[in-house]
Amino acid sequence: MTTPLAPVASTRDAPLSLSVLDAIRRQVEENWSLPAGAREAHDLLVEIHILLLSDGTVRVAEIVDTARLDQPGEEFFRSMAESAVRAVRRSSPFRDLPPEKYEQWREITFRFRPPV
Amino acid sequence: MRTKFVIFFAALFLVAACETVPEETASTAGAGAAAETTTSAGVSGEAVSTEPSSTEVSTAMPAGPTPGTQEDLVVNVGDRIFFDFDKAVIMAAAEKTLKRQAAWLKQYGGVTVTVEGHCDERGTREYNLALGERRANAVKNYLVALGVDAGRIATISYGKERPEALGHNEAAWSQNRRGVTAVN
Amino acid sequence: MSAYRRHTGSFRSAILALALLAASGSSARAELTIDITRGNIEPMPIAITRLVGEGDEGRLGQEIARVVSADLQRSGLFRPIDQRAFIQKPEAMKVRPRFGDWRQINAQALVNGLIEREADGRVKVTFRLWDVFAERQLTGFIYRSVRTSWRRIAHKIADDIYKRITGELGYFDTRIVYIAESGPADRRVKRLAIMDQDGANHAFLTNGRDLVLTPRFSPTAQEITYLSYFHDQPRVYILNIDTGQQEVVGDFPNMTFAPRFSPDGNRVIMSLATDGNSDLYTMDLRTREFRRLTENPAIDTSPSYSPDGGQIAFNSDRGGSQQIYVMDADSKKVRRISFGAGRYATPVWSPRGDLIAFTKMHKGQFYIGVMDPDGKRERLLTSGFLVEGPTWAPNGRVLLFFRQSPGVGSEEGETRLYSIDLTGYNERLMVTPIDASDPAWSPLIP
Repeated sequence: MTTPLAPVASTRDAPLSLSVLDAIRRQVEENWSLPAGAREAHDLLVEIHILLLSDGTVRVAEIVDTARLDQPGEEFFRSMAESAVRAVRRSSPFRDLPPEKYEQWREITFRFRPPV
Repeated sequence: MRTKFVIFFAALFLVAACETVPEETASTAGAGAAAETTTSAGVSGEAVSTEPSSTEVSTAMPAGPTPGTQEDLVVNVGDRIFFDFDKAVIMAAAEKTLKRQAAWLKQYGGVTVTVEGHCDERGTREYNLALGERRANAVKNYLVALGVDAGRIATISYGKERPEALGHNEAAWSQNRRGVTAVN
Repeated sequence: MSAYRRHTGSFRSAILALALLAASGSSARAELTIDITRGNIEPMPIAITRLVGEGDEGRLGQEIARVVSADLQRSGLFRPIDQRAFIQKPEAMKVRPRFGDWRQINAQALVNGLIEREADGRVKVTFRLWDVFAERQLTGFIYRSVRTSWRRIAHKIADDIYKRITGELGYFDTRIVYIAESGPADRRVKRLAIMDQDGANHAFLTNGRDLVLTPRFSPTAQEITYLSYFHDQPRVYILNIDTGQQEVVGDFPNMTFAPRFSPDGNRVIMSLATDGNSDLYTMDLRTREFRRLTENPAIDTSPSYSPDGGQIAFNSDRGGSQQIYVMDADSKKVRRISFGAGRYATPVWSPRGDLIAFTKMHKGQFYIGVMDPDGKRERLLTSGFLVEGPTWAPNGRVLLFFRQSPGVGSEEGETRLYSIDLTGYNERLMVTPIDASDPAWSPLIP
């Protein structure tokens, strides 16, 4: 709210279409190997923040809640977080991204949750 | 003791093999088969006197087993009774056999026996050990109620470890849910 | 235990995530947020290279890699990649792997290491586990042992990898005790047998003269308690695996059976039959104090302590049919937990405390299943003509049980051990030399 976005042309301004979002999601899901125990950990949430280059290559992929990684008793969170980072990195480069909307997809937060 | 078991098991198998036992009445028929043999050999005693006698068969088989032995018990009295699934209740058909066993035990006062409780394979191992123990004791308690000295009757449960019939169907299972009286 | 911690932890994380979300909303980083709620349950491709060493050590390094691969592969969670596909030679990785080479063959994780001979003749094994995509070391350990214990080193490495990748404890450095069976069903010969979790180091512990049943490990995995028909008197015994010494537990006129050690190893809980009635008792192994737990005309047997020792699950027909009950160990208060259709038996508390495994019988079929300790959320994992006696791997993720097939015609069926994942996937035969039943999984070997 406080940081205004740079002015953009109308096509760049239009939000990303659902099909683009779906394509990104599918790519990550295909590359995510669920860790053992994921089926029982329904309330676990892992956020991965990524930065993409304009060709869709993953430049940075970080676990948001790093403080939790090395805490004793959080081995499963760590496994899950690491599997999520691998999923994102294996998805690199992301395909079929509209170049004119780079500003909208250069930074993404993935919220990984085990399937029900 | 082991060899003795094998022999009398084999003897019983012969009896069972001669009869064509309908599946659903296998247990009672088994007991009945033993009962017929009993009378046929004509052992004297009050328990047998109530059974239909057939002395003519008796004369046809003059060489009977030695009185007071396991073989005698198997052939002339009936060494086993059968139970319903997951039950340890003495059924009507079994009562006759046990009455004969009690009479026989009184006749041979020096004999001690071990009652074996057995189960079919349709239960879990440990529960069946407990159920077999329950069955063995049901037999023992019945004999004691008929006046046999409790000190002469030991019990042991084999659970589902020693089936008599080897099939995997109700006909076999009904033969395996049994209490067997064995002379020590 | 870790399961509970995990659940509370996850709950915290959910709240934290919400807070983060709110925060990020107000700071308005250009945010594109995408939810990922599906993944694939394919086993993770992992490259396990032979441990590099000279001469005999090198050969042993290959053997260790083979055992590690087999452990991980059997878990169903990993897919070890064929060594022939490897691009980078193990010798070339002494500094750092060339991760691109490993990504190219689709490896997500990579294991490499060294094996050396020490001055005293022992072997020293160094191994590292790498995340191929994050390009960093995930874990690494050094193990030293006498050469003959090389299999244990391999299992420990497999446990380290399993733990680091899945976040769950491993279970590979463990043993299985079971009943080896042979001969016709009416004269079955049963022997106590023991083997490593992967079937190696198999040994018979009794000679088959006496009928033996239902073995269980002590918490240290040094002793086994079991039922023996020694002298035609079925009683509970304890066998020391190393010394071979056997000892009858207590002196009872009647059958004792269904023994298990308490979690602290100080007691044995078991059934004692008196006048045909089976109740539960404990025997303190130090003081010989004998304590009665149930007093009921019903059959009370197959007890299982909760990991904290505070509760005892057991099966009883006190309600008319065989069902599972849980007793508070101190107050002896009992509540029934199984209410589904059918008969329930052999409850076994998970080492994590979060589940109870059981055998269920319903309409002529047998099932292995799990339920929460309050009896809720029953899930059946497998079924058959006869499946019985689940036992947990120490991490509470895998169950072992036995399966008896009825056979065809006069051909007798087989009785064999099978393992299955907690989720019902990955059922597989555990190879034994002859027929096998009554398995018990050891804790992790200390």
